[in-house]
Amino acid sequence: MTLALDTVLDTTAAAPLRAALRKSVTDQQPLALDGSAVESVGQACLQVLAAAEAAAYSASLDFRILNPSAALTEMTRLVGLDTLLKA
Amino acid sequence: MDVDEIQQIFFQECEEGLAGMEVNFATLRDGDQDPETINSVFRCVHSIKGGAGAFGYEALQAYTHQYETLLDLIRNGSLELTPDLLDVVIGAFDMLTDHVAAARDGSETPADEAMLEKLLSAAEGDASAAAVEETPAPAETAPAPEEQEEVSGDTAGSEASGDDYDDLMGMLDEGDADNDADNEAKAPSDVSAPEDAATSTDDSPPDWKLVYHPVANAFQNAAEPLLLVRELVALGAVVDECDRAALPSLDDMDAECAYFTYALTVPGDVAEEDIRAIYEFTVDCEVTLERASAGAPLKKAAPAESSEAPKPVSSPAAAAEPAAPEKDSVSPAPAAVPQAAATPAPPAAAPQAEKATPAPVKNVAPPAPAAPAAPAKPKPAASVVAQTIRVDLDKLDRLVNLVGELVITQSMLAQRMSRHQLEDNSEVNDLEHLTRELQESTMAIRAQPMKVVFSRVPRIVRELESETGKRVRLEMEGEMTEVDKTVVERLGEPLTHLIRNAVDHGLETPEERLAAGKAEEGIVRLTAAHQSGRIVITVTDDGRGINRARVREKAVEREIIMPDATLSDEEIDNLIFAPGFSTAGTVSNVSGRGVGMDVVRKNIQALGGRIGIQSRHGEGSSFSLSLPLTLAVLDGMIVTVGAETFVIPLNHIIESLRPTEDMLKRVGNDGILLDVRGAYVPVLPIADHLGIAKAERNPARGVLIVVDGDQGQAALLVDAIQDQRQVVVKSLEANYQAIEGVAGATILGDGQVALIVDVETLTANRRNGARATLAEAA
Repeated sequence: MTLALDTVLDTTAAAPLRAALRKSVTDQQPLALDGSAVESVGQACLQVLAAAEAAAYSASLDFRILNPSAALTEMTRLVGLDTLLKA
Repeated sequence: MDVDEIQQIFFQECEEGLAGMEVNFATLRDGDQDPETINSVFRCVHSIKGGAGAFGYEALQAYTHQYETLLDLIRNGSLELTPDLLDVVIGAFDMLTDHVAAARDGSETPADEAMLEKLLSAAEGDASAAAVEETPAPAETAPAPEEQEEVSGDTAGSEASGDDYDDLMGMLDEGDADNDADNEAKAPSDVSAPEDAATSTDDSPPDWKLVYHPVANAFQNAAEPLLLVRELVALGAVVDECDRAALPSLDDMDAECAYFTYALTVPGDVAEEDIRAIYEFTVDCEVTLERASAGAPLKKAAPAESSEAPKPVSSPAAAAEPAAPEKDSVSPAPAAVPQAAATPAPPAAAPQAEKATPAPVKNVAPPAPAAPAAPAKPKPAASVVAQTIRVDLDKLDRLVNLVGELVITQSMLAQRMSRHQLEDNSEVNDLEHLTRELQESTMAIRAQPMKVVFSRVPRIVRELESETGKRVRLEMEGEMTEVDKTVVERLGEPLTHLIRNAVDHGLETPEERLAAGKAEEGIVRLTAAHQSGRIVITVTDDGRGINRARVREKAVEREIIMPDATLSDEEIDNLIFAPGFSTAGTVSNVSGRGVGMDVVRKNIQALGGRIGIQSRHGEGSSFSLSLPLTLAVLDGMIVTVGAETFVIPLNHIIESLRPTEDMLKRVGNDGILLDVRGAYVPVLPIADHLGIAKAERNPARGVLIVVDGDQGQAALLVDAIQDQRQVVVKSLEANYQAIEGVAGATILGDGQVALIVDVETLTANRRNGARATLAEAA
C-alpha cells in the first residue's frame, strides 16, 4: 500500500507522519510513500523520514519515496538526504 | 519569541547599523575611501532592506533597494565616489534614517520621491546633477520596485543575497514551490556552483566553516532550519554534512524536536556580516562560524570517482566503524553515500565516520584516499556567534537593584562584625572585595558608549549647515567613552541644544569668518572622556565667542541683573543659563527661543552633573558638562545633623573645616558668612532647610562643609562628620515622594536610612532667599 505524503510537510505534519510510518513498520508493511504532492517540507518531517528509513532498514522492510516532487527533491538534496529518494 | 520581539530586534539593529554608517561617512568625508568602508555601508543598507522586506515595510524596502543599487555601483568601482556623490549618499542616509523611524513608529512615510530621483540620477553617473537638484521629482517617475530591479540588473553581487528575507517570508507563506526556479541554480545540485564556491585560490581568504545546530525546541518557536540552510546555500555555501547522529529511532523520537546539525562550507570571499545577517534573527540555534584553518586543505569538489559512491561494505570508512559493518553488508542501500550524487562529496570522511551512529542513518563518507588530509570537523570554539545577547532592561535593573541590596547587606554585616572585633576576618574582607567587584561589573553592564548620542550629531550639523548657510567641520573624539545608559539617554537633548547653540550662535557666517581672518569653515568639536570618576563632555566652537557686553545688556534689559551689578567675566558668561535669556536678534528655527540653555542646565543638573563655560571673544566658546558615570551609586560624606544622618555627594565638596569665630561674619538678622581665605561664602545650616530639630546652629561648634554648586559656593553646617563611603542611591520619588533639598536616600551599614542632600537645590534656595531679602531691604 502506498502512503501519500501531504502537500505541506511542516512541523505540525511531523507527528501524524511519524505515527503513520510507525504503524507501517509495526505492521511489517513496506514503506512506499508517494511524494508527488509535496509542495514544501521542513526539517521535522525530513527527520521522521530519515528515522523511518532506518527503522525500515532494521526491520528489513523496503523504504521508498515514489514520484518525489520538485520541492521534496530540492530540499532533500539541499541537505544531503536525497538517499531517501532512491528509486 | 514572537514577531513583535523580532521586529524590535530588527529596529535595534537598524539603529546600530545607522550609527555605524554615520561613523563610516565621517571616515569617507575625511577622504579615506577604504573599500571596506563602502562595503560596510552597503551591507548595512542591504541588511535593513532584507529586514524591511521580511516585515512588510514596502516603502522602506523600495527606498533601500534604490539606495543599495547606488552603493553597489560605488563599491564595485563602476562609480567614483566624488564629493558630489558622497553628498548624495549622505543625504540619502538621512532619508533612510527617517524611513526607519517612520517604519518603527508607524508614522507617515517620508516623501522620498526627490531623493529616489537623485539616487537614480547618481546611479546613472550624474552625481553633480543629483547633488544640486533641489526640485522634487514627480512621484510617478519614482521607479517601481520591479523597474528598480532592472536598474540594478548588473549588480549581481548584491542580488545574490538581496532577497534573503523575501525568500524566507515567501517560503513561510507559500511553501517552497515558488522559489524553486530561483534556487535551482544555487542549489548544490548544480555541481558547478559548489565547485566554484568551494574552490579557493591561494589569494582568496580561507573558506568559512559553519556549524548550525538548531536547538531541540527550535520548532516550538516556528523556526524552520531548512530555510536558513537554503539561505546559506544561496550565498554559495555547500552542505558538507547533515549530521543525524542525534536522531533517535522512529519509536523514540519526538517528531517536534530538532535533531539535525548541519556543517557547511561558505566561500571565503563571502563577507562575515553577510553570513551572520542570515541567522541574526534566529535565536533557537547554536552557530559556530570560523575560518578554515590556514594551511588546512580547503574543501574541494569530490573527485569524479568519489561521487560514484562505492558500496559501504568495502568502504574503509565503514570498516572503521565497528557498529556498522554487519548492517552495511546486509543491505548497503540505506547506507549509500547520500550526498555523492547531489553534492560534491567532501573528503571529510574521517569526521563523519567517527560518528557512532546506526549504520542506515549515518552519512557514510566516501572512501578515502584523501581522508588523512581531511579537515577536522569544525569545533565550536573561537567564534561562537552569540558574543552579545539582548537583555530586557527590567531584568537588568532588577539585577542592579539586587546588587545594591547586597552591597548594603554586606556593609551591615561588616559593621556588625566590626562591633565584635571580627573585622579582620579574611572572609569578610573577601566578601567586601567580591561585592564591590560584583557591583562594578553589574554597573558596567548598563554602561553604553557615548557613540549612541554622538552618532546623531553629524546629521544635526548637516541640517544646521543647510538652515544657516554656515559651513561646519564637526570633529568628534571619545565616542567609545562609556557611561550609564540612563545618562546616555538623557544626554541627547542637552547635547543637541549645545550643538545647535554652537552653530547658530557661536560660529560666524563664512563671510564674517573670512573677514575675521578665519577659515571659511567653522569647527565644532565634541569630545567625551573620563576624568576623576566622572564623564566630561565638551562642545567647543571656534566662532565669535560670547559678546559679554551684549549679554550683560540683555540681562539688564530682562531684569535678570541690576544695572549696577558688578559681575566677573565668568558670572556674565553664566547669565546665558538664566531662564528666558536669549541674545538672538530674531527667533529662528534653529535656536534663539531663549529656552535652550537653562533647559540644558536643568537637564544636566537632574543627572547630577554640572555645566561650565569658557569663552574668549573672537576665538570661540567651550561648554563642558561633567556627569557622574552612574546614577545608581555615589561617593558621599556621611554627616550627622541633630539625630539624623545625611549624605553629601562628594563631587560637590571642596573642603570641610571647623571654623573659628573670627572666620565667621554675621550679616543681617541671621545671615552668616564664612571667610575662606579671603572669599566669603554663605553658611547654610542643613537643619534649617530640612527642618531638623536639636541640631547645632552655631557654626563655631559644628563642622562646615564647603560645597560648590552651579549657583556658587556655600558652607553647609552639620554637627559632625561620620565617614566617607560609596552609597547605593535609592529613589525617593519611586519609594516615597520627592522632597525639595533631598536628592535621594540610601541605606547605611547599620540599616539606617540616610537622605542624600541635594546641594544644587540648597545652594539655589539660599541664593534666591538672599535675593528676596535684598529686594525686601530695597
